Amino acid sequence: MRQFKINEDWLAVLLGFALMALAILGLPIKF
Amino acid sequence: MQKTESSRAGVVAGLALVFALAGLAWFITQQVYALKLPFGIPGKSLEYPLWAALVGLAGNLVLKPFKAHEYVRPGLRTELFLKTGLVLLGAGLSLGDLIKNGAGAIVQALIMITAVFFFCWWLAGKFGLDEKLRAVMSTAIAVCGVSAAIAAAGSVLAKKEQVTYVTTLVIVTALPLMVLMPMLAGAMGLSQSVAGAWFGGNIDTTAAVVGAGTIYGEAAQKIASIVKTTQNALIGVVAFLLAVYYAVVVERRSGERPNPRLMWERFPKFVLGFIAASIIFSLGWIGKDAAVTIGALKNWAFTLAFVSMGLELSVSEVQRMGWRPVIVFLITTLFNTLLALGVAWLLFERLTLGG
Repeated sequence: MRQFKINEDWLAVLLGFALMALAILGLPIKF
Repeated sequence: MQKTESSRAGVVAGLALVFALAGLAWFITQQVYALKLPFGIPGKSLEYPLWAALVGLAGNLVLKPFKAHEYVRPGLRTELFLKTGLVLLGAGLSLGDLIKNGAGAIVQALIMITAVFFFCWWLAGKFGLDEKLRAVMSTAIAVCGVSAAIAAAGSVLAKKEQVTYVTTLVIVTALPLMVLMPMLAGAMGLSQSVAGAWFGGNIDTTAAVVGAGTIYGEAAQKIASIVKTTQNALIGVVAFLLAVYYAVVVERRSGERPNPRLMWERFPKFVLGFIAASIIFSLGWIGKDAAVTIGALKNWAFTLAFVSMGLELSVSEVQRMGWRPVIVFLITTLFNTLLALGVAWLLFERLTLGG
């Protein structure tokens, strides 16, 4: 059983903030 | 060398599969959101994680006979999608809402979250539920909703079957509550503000809270939304406390002395990103349009996560969890319903903190 690992945490933070920055710059994404 | 190449191809194939299925889940979600279901239930209350998990599960069942699972597994980055989504979720939770929403909503949220969380925690212990399932379920019912369940799952490093199980329960239980609660409120002759506070404090998903409020009246809908957003704003606090508790107490091996370095190693770092994002949003550094886009990106990240969870879901693991979690969930929901009614009546009728 694979569990959520912590080694991806910083990558997720980086990705999250990069996406936030793109959103602020006007990335046209809708859901 | 060959192994690395095949695992790289697996990453690409897995990611392509997850993105394609997420697109399909999105399409289904849009169709369902446009529906008007019986009893005036808006299609929107059947939230997207349900469809994403189902599409993933369908993919899972198709892949299994071809033994293609192992090949695509390196691309199923459930944790990464989930935690990225949580950082983005943080960028939509304003601590300022707590101040803006007023005393009634804050007092109600604090009472409800604390009481319901510990009741569910205690009951889950009595029923012998797994430590992590216990945390995810308690947070999902106490703070209300899918985002809370996901945030708790990340904080305590829960299994994907536990997240999917609780999320499904949250979405499915919200539907009858959304229809029944306005009917009961009408039968009891509750005022708009008490009814709204009751819906907001009890129903687990935001869409169903708004749905119930809309059925009862405009003023009820407004109070319901305020109470709900106040609870949502506290997700970060609960996620942080859970992360600390699991890193310091639960994950500690017997005989091990508390050690800051070990605790730091076990602490889920994405929670820090989540809180930082929430502070940035609370400071007003993210404009309205950007906030809408961030919300959409968050939904996409969670769709990818739930598709991956569906693809990886072990049906036998879900069966092993059995019916006990459902019983704990339903009893806690009943407790939540009664307590929310009492607290809403006390705060919004007797003390009139609503205005």
